[in-house]
Parts: sequence; C-alpha cells; structure tokens
Amino acid sequence: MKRIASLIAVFFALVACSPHGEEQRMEIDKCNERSYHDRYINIDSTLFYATRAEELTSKGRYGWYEAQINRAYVDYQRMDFDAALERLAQVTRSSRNQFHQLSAHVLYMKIAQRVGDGETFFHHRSRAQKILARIGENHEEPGEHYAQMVTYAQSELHIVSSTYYYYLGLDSAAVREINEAYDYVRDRHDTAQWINYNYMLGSGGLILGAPEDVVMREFDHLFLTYTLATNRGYRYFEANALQSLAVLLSDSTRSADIALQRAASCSFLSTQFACEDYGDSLCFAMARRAVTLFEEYKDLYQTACAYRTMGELYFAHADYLDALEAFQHALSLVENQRKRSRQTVNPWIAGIREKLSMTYSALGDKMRSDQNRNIYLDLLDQYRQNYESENRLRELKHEVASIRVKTAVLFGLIVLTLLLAYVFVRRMNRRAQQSAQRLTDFRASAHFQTLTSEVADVRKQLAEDTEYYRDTLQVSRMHIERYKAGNVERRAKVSLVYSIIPYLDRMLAEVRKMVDSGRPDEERLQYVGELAEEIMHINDALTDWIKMTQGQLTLHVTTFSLQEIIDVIALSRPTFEQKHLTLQLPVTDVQVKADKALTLFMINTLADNARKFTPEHGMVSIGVERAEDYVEISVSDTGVGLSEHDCSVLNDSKVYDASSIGASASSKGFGFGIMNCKGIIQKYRKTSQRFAVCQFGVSSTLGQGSRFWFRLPKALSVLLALLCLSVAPSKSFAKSNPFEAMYDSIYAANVEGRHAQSLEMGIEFVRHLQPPYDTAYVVLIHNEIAVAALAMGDWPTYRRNNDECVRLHKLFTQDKSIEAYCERMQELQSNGIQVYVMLIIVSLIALVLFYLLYLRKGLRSDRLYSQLFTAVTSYIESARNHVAQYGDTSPAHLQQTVEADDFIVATEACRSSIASSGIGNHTMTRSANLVIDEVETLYQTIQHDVQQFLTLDEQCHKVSFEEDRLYVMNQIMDNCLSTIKHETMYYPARAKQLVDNMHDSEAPMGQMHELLDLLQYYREVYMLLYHQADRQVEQYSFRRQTLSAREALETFVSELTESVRRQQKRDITLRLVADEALRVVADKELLQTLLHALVADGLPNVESVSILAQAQPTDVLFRITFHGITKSDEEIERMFSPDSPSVHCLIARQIIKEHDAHCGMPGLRLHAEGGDADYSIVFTLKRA
Amino acid sequence: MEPFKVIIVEDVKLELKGTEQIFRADIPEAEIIGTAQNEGEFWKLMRQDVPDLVLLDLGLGGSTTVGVDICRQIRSRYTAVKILIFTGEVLNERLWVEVLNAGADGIILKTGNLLQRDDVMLVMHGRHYVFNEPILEKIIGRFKKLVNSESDKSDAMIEYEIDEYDERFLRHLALGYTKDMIASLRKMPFGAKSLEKRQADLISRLFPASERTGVNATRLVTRACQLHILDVNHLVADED
Repeated sequence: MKRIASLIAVFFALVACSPHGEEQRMEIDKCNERSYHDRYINIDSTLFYATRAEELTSKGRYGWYEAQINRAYVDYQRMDFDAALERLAQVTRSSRNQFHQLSAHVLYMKIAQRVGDGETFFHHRSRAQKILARIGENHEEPGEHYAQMVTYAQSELHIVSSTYYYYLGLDSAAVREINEAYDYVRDRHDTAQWINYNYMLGSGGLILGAPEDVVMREFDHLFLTYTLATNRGYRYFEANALQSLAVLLSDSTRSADIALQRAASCSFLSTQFACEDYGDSLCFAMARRAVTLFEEYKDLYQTACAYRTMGELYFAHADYLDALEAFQHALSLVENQRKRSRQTVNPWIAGIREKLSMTYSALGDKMRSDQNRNIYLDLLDQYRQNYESENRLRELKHEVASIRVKTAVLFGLIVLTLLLAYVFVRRMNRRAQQSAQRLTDFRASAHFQTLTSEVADVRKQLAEDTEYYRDTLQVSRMHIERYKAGNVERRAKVSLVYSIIPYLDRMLAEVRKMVDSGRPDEERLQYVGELAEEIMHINDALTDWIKMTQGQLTLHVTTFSLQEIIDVIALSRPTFEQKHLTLQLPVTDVQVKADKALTLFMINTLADNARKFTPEHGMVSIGVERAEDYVEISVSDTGVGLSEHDCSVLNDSKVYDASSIGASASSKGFGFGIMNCKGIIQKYRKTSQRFAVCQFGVSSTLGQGSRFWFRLPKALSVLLALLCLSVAPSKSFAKSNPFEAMYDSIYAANVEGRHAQSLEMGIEFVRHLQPPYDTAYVVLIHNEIAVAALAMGDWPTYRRNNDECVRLHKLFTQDKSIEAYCERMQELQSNGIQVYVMLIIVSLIALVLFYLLYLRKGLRSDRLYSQLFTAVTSYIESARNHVAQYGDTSPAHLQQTVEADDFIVATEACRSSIASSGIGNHTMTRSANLVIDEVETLYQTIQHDVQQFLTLDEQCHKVSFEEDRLYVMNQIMDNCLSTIKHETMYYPARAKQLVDNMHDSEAPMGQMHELLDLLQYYREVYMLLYHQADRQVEQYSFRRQTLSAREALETFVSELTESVRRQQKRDITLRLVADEALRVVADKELLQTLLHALVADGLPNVESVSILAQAQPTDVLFRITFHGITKSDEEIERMFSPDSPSVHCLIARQIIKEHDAHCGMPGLRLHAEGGDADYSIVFTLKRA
Repeated sequence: MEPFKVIIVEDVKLELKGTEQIFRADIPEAEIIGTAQNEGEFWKLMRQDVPDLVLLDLGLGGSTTVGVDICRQIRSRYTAVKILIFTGEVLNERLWVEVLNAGADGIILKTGNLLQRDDVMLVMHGRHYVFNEPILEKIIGRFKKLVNSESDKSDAMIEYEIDEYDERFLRHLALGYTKDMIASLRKMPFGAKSLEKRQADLISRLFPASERTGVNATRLVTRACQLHILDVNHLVADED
C-alpha cells in the first residue's frame, strides 16, 4: 500500500511538474529552500521567498505546498495561528506528498505546543511519527531536498516535543526527547537546527547532573548558540541565547562561578556588551539586546518573553516598578495578539500574570496581586498535561468506533455465516435425504435397472444354453445307452471269437498226438474235422452277425477345427511334464472333415505312445501340415525309435504281432495302439471315396525317434467354420481529613492576613508530609504557602512553593475523569477488542463446534453418503462388469470367470467400507446394505445359474467322454472283429480240407505236419487278433449299481409293451411278479439290454409273458416264461451254448458273464427250461 | 491203477466228445459213468451214482461260472469225490482262485496239451493243486514276481539306508498319521520336530537332487511305495 501511495505521490509530483520547465522547478526549489533557510534569520525574507515560490507556481502544483508550509511558519512566528493552521490544513488535506505532510504536521506540533493544545500536539505528533515510520520503511532514496526536509522534521519533532514536555514539567521526557534530537543534528548540516538544539540544552532544565556542572554546561551551550547565531546571522537564536544567558547570569552565585570557570567566554560577552563585569549590567545589556533583536525579528512571542525576562531581572533587583512596566508591556503584547487570533498562548499569559501577581504583591497591592494570581491559577487549570490522554482518548474513541464497526461487520459476518450455515445445513440435510432416498429408491435407478436387465439377459442366455446342454446331455445319454448295448454285443462277439480257441487248442492237441504217434488216427482225424467244421460254423455265425450289424455303427464325420483337438491334447501336458518331456503343440486354423472322436483317439494314442517310448528330457511334438486336398497330422518324438523292420511291418503288414513291435524288450508293445489307428484309417477308406486320401504311416530311426502320421481330408468350407469364432476508589473524604483541616486553618490565616502564621503552619506541615497524601489539599496548601510567602515577600519560599504547587497542580489537575474516561475507553477499547476478540473466538469456537458437532458430521456424513453412494454405485458397476463377464457363455470362459470371480471380495470390501464409515445414520447404511444384499442376491442367481450350467457342462463332458470312449471302443472292436473275420476265415476251411484229404492220402503224415503248421499259425494269428480285440474288452464299461428289481422290471415291461404296440401293432400280456424290497447288484443299462435280449427271440410269436423275480439266499432269480410256446430239448440246450444260433442269447450270455465278473459273486445262472406248454428263461443276479 | 468212476460235466458236445476220447485213449482206468451238459443233469447223475472223480467245466449254458457253485456243493455234499476243473477260461485267474476256494483239487486249462493222464492220476492219488502247464507257468510267474518284489524291498532298505524308524515313520505317514501322532507311538522315540528333520532327510535320500523341491509327505510315501520300501498290501499300524 505504502509503495503504491509513494508511487502515486511521485506520479502527482510528475504531473505537477510537467507544465514547468526544469529551470522553473529549480527556481521554485531555490525560493523554498531560501525561505526555509531564512526562518531564524529574517522572517520577512522567509515570507518573501515563500511568496515568490508561491507566485512561480500555482495552487497544488510543484513547490506550492512547500511554499504554504514556509508561509505558515511565518504566520506561526507572527502568532497568526489561524492563518498558519489554514495553510497547513490545505497541505495536509490536499498534498499527497508525504514530505510536505510531514513538514506540515511538525509545524502543527509547534503551533500546538505554543498554544498549549496538547490534544492537537499529540495528534500531529503521532501523524508525523507514522509518516516517518512509513518513510523509514520505504527504502527508496527521497532525493536531497526531501532528505533535508525529513532530517529537519525529525530533529524538530524531538525538539518541539522536548519543549512541550519541559513546559509540562515532564523533565525526564523532555531530556529523552532532546537527546533523541541529537541524532538528527549532530552532522550539523542544518546549522539552524544544530543551533536550536544547543539553545534548547542551554535554556535550562534539560541537562541532568550536579547543579554546578549543569550550569557550566548550560552556559557552554548558550554561549555556543550565541556565537554561532551571531556568526551566521540567526537573529532569533542570538536573541534567545542572550535572553537565556541574561537569566543564567542574573544569579550572582552562578555568575561568579561562570566568570571563574569560563573567563574567556565571559570576557568575550562583556566586551561585546561593553560591560566591565559579568554582573547585572551585562544581564540587563543582554536582555535589552534580546528585546531589540526579537522586535527586529518581529517575533511577538519571544518579544513578550524578552520583556518578561527584563521584568524578572528588574524584580530580582527589587526594581518592582520597572519590573511591573516590563511585565505589563509583555502582557499588552499578549493581549494584542489575543485580540487578533483565536489561538493564544495560555502558559505565556499565565507566566506573565504570575509575575504581575508577584510584582503587585511586592508593591503591596495585595488586591491586584491576588487578582493576577487567580487569573494565573485559572490559566493553569486550562493548561493541563493530560493532552496526551485526550489525544489518546480520541484515538481510543476512534479505535473503539473502529472496533464497533469491525464488531458490527464481524457480527454481520457471523449472521451471514449462520445464515449460510443454515442454508448449507438445510441443503446438506436435503442432500442427505436425497442421498438416503436415492439409496432407498435405488432399485428404481437406471444403474440398478440396467444391472437387473443385464442379469436377466445373462440368465436368459444361460437358460437357453442350459436347455441346449440338457438336450445334448440327453442325446449323449441315449447314445451311451446304445453304445453300451453295442459294446456288450461286440464283447459277445469277442467271446464268440474266443470260443473258437478251445476248439483250436483241441485240434492242435489231437494233431500233435497224431504227429507224436507218427500215424494218423481215423477217429482223431474225424474229430479234428468236426472241430474245424465247428470253427467254420462259428466263423460263419460271426460273419453273419457282423454283416447283420454292419452299418449300425457308422463314422460320425463332421467338419471341425484341429485346434479343438489340440486343445484337448494340451490338457495332458502335466503327464508329459511329469516325465520331464516337452510337448510341442501347433497353433492351427486347419479344418478337417473326419470323425472327431476317432481323430482325438488317434492323436491321443500316438502322443501316448510317444510319451511312453521317449526317455526323460525328450520332446514330443505334434505337427499339422496342409496339402492340397488333405491335412497331414504327425506325432514326432525323440524316443527310442523303431527298427527298419518294425517300420515296414507297421507300414505294410495287415496282421502282425503288436506286442513284438519295439526296439527293445522294455519298449515292446508299440504296436497295439498303432494297429487301432491303422484300423481306423482303413475304416475311413472303406466308408467313402472322399476318404481315399486317408493314409497312415511311420518313419523312424532307431535311437533317434519316430514320426507317426496320418492324413485326413481337408474341410471344404473353411469360411463356414470361421463363422464360429468375440474427503474506585471513592473520593469521599472523611470530615476528619487532616489535609482538609490543615488547609482550612492555613487558608483562614491567609484570609485573615496572618500570613506569617499561615507560612509557618504550612511549612511545618509540608515538612512532615508523608505519603499517602491528598494531592488536592497539598496543592492548595502549597498555594496558600505561596500566597503567604508572596504576601510576606519571601520570594524563595514563594518560588519553591509556587513551583511545587504548579507541579502538583499539574499532576492533580490531570483530568482524572479523562483519565478515567480514557481508562474506560481503554477498557472499552480493550473490552471492544476483547469483545471483538471474544466474538472472533466465540465465532471460531462456534464455527469449530459447528464444524465438529454438526458440519463435520454433516460434511462427513455428506461425504460418507456420497462415498456410500459412490461405493454402492461402483459396487453395482462392479457387479455389472462381473455380470458382463458372464455374457460369454462358453463353458471354458465361464469356468475361468467363476474361478477368477472376486465379486465376493468386492462385496465384502463394499460392506466393510460401509461398516467402517461409521455413519450414525443406520437407515442410510441399512439402505445401502439392502441394495448390496439385493445386488448380491441378484448376482448369486447368476452364479447359481452358472454353477448349474457348469455342472451340466461337466456332466456333458463326462457323458460325452463316456460316449466317445464307447464309440471309439466299439469302432475299434468292429475293426478287430472285421480283421479277425477277414484274416482267419481261410484257416479252418483249409484245415478241414487237409483232414479230408488225409483220409485218401498215401502220405498222410506230410499233410499231418502241414496241418499242424497251419493250425499253429492259425492259432498264432488268431490269438494276435483276439488279444487286440480283448484289449478293448478289458476297458470296463460296466457300472455296478444297486437297483430295485421291481423298478427295473417295470421299466422293461412298459418299454416292451410300447415297443410291441409300435412295431407289431398288437398288445402283449405281460405279468410281473416281483417283491418291492428286492434289490439287485447290476448295471442298469445292461440289465435292460439283458431283458430285451432274452425276450427278443420269443417275442414275435408270444402273446403272454410272465416275469417273476424271486429272492434266493445270495441271489435273485428271474424267470421269464413265454406262455404258449414250446421248445425242443435241443433248442433249450443250445440256446445259451457258445454255438447258439441266437445272437440275442450270446449277448445275454455276455451280460451275465460281465455281471459274474464285476459284481463280486461268480456262479450266476443263465439257462432255459422247457415246459409242457411254455418255456422259461432263468437267470440270477447278486442280491443286494 | 484201479478203475475209478468219472462224471464229465461239459456243455459243448464236440468238446465232450474230445474229452471222452482222451479218457478212452489215455486213461482207460477211468469209467465214465455219465456226462452232463447242465447243472440239472449233473445232480441227477450224482443222485444215481457217486463217482470218484468229477471233471467239471466251469461254464455251462449261459453261465460261465456255474461250475464254481457246483464245485462248492460237491465238496460239501460228497467230501470224497475228487474234483478236477477242466476249463477254457484261460485268462480268468480270479475264477481259478474262486474254484480252488470252492474245493477243487486241480485246474486243467483247455489249452496246450489239454487233459493228460498224469494230471488225472495225481488227482486220483489224492494230490491237491494239480495244474497243467499253462496255469503252472502263470503261478510260477506270479511267485517269481512276489519273491522279486520282496527282494526289491530288502534291496531298497539297504540301498536307501532305511532303518526301522524310517520304515515305521513312512508306514504310519502312509496310513495318514500326523507327525504328532507318530511321535506318540510307543516304539517311536522321537519328537515331532525330530520327525520333521527325519522327513527332510528321507526326501534327500529317496529323491535325486533335481526332484527334491516341493516334495510333501504324500509324495514321499508314494516314492517309498515305488521303491518297494513300503508294501501297499501290508500297510498295518503298530499296535499301541
């Protein structure tokens, strides 16, 4: 601010100077400086130059204010205070130049000091001090001219203050001030001020120390003042110095001392005033000279003072008439001035009046003396030393007013704050309500609605998919049922194949015996022939059976991505890692047209072989290569490899000993899986011309590894497949007051003219005066002593008591009320400040409390609400994101999502954040928790659906796996059976031929050996092929369960009834007798297959069938009786024998055999029993 | 050899023929007092005349194991009758055991040299456990395997320096005992902490350095089984 103010001042200064030329400015400065310089030399000169400067400029322009100050000084010296004040007012009012302001305030102080207006004095003093402080803070160099003004102002401020305090009797303050002035004059740049300083010290009262020393030093200062002023032409100070020297030397004791110690100076003075001694003549000469000089200088005040000094000198020489004349002259000068100006110098008049009082007293004119004394005392009353207090009072008033304004503003602010707080709180409450409402109504929010609809969408999608999967599962289960039946049929076929072995063994045994005996045996030959025929017969039955079921199991040719299969193979990676083998899998987009289950089986078989026959830290890699019309899938390993021979056997032979394939004994067994693979490829080729490209091959180097490959046709439409890919003391004196009593008696003595008695009483009283005392009476007593002394002409006593009276009067007349008022004001101010501060504190406390008790809670609540809302919203967002993840209903993705599902974490986090938020509003948290509960429930429905879906998917996988397994198993068994049929048909026929030929042969033994070789080879080949088939049989498909016999039979009966009705368009009578508690151990599907197989043969002709289930000690006997149909004994016998003509019976036999093997109880029965008008089939199952 | 009576139980006529032929040619002392193609016929024959020997086929008609039941019944009713099983079930080892448990004196498989006079004679001379070559081969094979397995165990005990405490510790670990439970066994003078150290020590003994990381108690026990230190079939807790 100050910087801005100074900048503005400079700006105005610049504006002011702008129309003037630099020369004119210099001229103005020169005039003003000269005016200032001539102040103590010639007041007319000062006026002249000031007027000149004023003429050179115009009002308000450059130098004008300074000229006004100089003119005001002239007015001051001429005691035209009104004029001076008017000029100064112009300056303080209009000038923005702080230096002018400073000079003006200092001059104001001088005027106030002179007129005794303490209030004004202190007012301007404080203003001046403020300006000085401001200048002191401003580090900018003010320029030489202004620097001089500042130095003058500073020195003058202290000198005037010192003068002021001196006249107030505050000696220490006066001494302090004059000492402070020294700092600004010691450089003696401003000679006038230096002289002024020395005069002040010399004029008395400002030097502390021993009285002798003080006198000497005062003389020195005055002498210095005099000589300097004389030399430099400062008439004002010359006159003042002379006046003071005259007073100083008027005391004969002092003058003797001075004459002794300061002989040179005194000599100089006596020479100057042509006096022979340093006594009275010199004093009078100097005083007269002073009067002359002041009159010349035209300083009314000082002239009057000079006359008073003259009067005092006359009085001291008891020349009372001259003294009276001098005092009266002085008084007249004062009275003249008083007529001219409103402002007058009361102490000045008081002083003259006191002297007149003394003079009249000395002249014996008691009445005039008392008159003047009373005027004197009255004036003293006015001249009080409490101006400072008044000034302070005003300032206090000002400050109190300011505090009031501030308090009002503060109060206003508090009201406004309260209002705002109220509005804020209302808004906050409303927001809280809204927030709560928003939470309560969350279900209606777009967020929640979106979530709900998204959840519904996902659930719908899941439901659709679940439905689809259920259907798929159902289809798969039907397939399994069918495949299982097909499987048991194939097992039955394998059993049939096996049934040849005993015949073959018997043939071999018979032939060996004949060979051993060296001769053919007719009976044995015949038997061998019969056995060969039987084998041929079984072979035929098998062939018929195979032919009969041919086409029942066709290849499931579909178009699929090889990647799907490779992904499944990837699941077996851990088994490779366990053996420290690297499994390399390709990434491919190749689509092939083939049987998916069989393709998987083939790759799995080959990869499994590779794993088995590759040593640790080796590598197995699967490759996919595209050719024009086929895709070659290869499995390579860094294993033991195969010999060239093994390779050629695998590549070319139709029949070979799979167990013999492999480089070493430990690696034998290479061949079985490969044989199956070959069989599958053969099956492709046989199925359709499309599969002509199908081939299987192996290339291997012993010890280095093998590469097995097979080719499948490429899918026609690749595109189609691609579509499948997304924050008080009471002043009441008791009448017994000793002071009052003393005063009354002294006063009475004075009034009665008993001055001596009065004086004696008073002095005695004062001598024994000890504090505490009543100042008011002490003043009065001193006054009465003074009056008495005055009347008695005891001047020293008078002087002493008058001085004491004046001093005490000054002290006592301090306007206690003002003081008290001041104190009150001070109190008020401090109270004001206190109130102000209290208000601030209370406001702050209120604000803090408001904040702590309500706002913080409110804000916190608000923040927490918003956090809560944000938490809930983000929770819902999180839920939506989570739900979105379930958008893709592919099981693999769902499984991954379920495993990675951290929604429960999000829920717990949200819940704990709500719980830890510590909101007192339970409704709010309850609402939020309700929303969370609801979202969670909603989410859980999805999770539940997904879980259900995944369980279903898992079931589907399981079922599908089972389905594929059975399917592949059946296919392979078909291949094996087909191979057996094809590769071994020839042998029994040839054996028969050989046997037949032997009858007529001349050298039968040759043929006998040939027969033996043939049979041995036949058995070898047959056993190889049988083992291949039997390996499949070893893979159990049997599922042991505990079943209700009645339920199983009821199912069968209803299916059968329906079947007959559908197929034969007739009804059949089915009677069922079974205990409900009867439970059996069996395979559910196989039991149904068994029942169906058992009735299959008799069904076309039977009208009534009764089924009985009967409990036996360890088993349950089932009897199926076909009423109305009879069977011959042979038919009954052959029905379930290995050479049974009925395939159904063979299947039934196989099922019983499997139950025998897997239910932990051998000895299950299956046979037929003939009756008179019916026949029965009896079988047993283990009782549960 | 004195003459003896035989009943042949065989459901396949052609096979029956061959069997009868064997008797006629090689075992003339045997008097075939009857042949039965099914259970009913057999018991009928038995009621008529009790033979010295029953040559029994296990599979009759639709049932492949009915012979086991017949064998058991003969043994309970006719203790003196010798029972020789003559079966084509060349692969069904379980059935062999079943029928031996049921009281059969011997099993002859319908393969190789089929039924031989010597085998029948041994049975008639009161020998139990008469088998023909294919079945003997199997029995010997199993026996060798068992003996080898046992020697493997003692080898492993020496090879891996397994003391009785190691064995007891491993065996009880395999039985699902916790270390605290094992430490409280009467014959186990070690604390649970000490057992922890023993486990670490066992891991270092039983596993090559490259495979030691991540080995837990289950893996350790499995390894002990693989190395024949523990016999899965004889995992019995110490009596306490």
